[in-house]
Amino acid sequence: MNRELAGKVSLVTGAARGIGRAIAIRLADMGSSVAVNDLPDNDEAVKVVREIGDSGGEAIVAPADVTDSKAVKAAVKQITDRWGKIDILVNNAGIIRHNLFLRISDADWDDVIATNLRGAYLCTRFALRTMLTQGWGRVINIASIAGITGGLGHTSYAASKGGLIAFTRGLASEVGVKNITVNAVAPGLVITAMTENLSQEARDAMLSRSALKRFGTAAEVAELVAFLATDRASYITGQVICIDSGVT
Amino acid sequence: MAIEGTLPVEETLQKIICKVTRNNNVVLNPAGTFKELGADSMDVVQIMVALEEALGIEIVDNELKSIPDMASFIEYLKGKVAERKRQSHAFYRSK
Repeated sequence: MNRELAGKVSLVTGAARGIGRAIAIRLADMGSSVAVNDLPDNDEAVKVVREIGDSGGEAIVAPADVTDSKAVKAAVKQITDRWGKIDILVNNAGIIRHNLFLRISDADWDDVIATNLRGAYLCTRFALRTMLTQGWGRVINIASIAGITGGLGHTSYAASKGGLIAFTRGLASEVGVKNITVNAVAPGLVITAMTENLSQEARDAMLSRSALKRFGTAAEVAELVAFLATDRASYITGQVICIDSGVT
Repeated sequence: MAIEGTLPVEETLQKIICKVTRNNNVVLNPAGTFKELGADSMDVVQIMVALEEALGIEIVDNELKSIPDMASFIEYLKGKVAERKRQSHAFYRSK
């Protein structure tokens, strides 16, 4: 069993389901203690913690709405009170609102940007403090190929993910000197609860461009994230790594 | 001239600067600056974060703009610590 993250502490946002859940479980498999973040009162987050515990790992629920500065600060404090630090932050929490641009409501636009971009900003802002102090850290942002290619009917999502990619590159250049790497993972179409509402037309379009002629799995994304969290990825920073079956 | 008769705030500041700049021979010059101590901009950020953690205070970037030297910065820190203690006492008195 690969335990190369033993002794590390990870915070994975939006980890109750989908890609976040797979990442939390994979990091725990590799020995990391894991804080499973999602919205408060999310029973699915408790299930993830239980699943990690049943496999011999260590995990806690760190509930917070990532758009709420005070809540994020409290969640980070909860983790540092428990384990003394955060080594690995995975900014995964995200939402999507499908609509053609001129039909997007202001509220939907703001919700998407707040969760996908402001959420990453807030979590990083608080988690980075312990990374700076210890002189080691990994920030891994879950972007999307939509942030590179755009896409019909999800302009707000694409804008938020494009922003997250720029955020990744900017932050990487700031904190590299402190031995903290910052990278983005940009999945193509991965079947999760968030993407299952895509139209068949959109799915078919994606599949036609997929070299492997299939959709990705959350576990495959988690494997890439886990690699970026290790010391084997110590010279990789400021990168956007697409995991999309050759779509981009 | 180095600051003498170090109090907890000065000691804390000195220890943190030594750690961040990896120089155990740091001497706090009242008229000096972080740059003169070999601290770059990211080092200064790290020093501020460590001071906030160690002293239980919040350092406000806008307030730092008017601080010209190390002596003024130490006074600023002492003021923040005193303010925190006052707030803490007021909290317990209200209980």
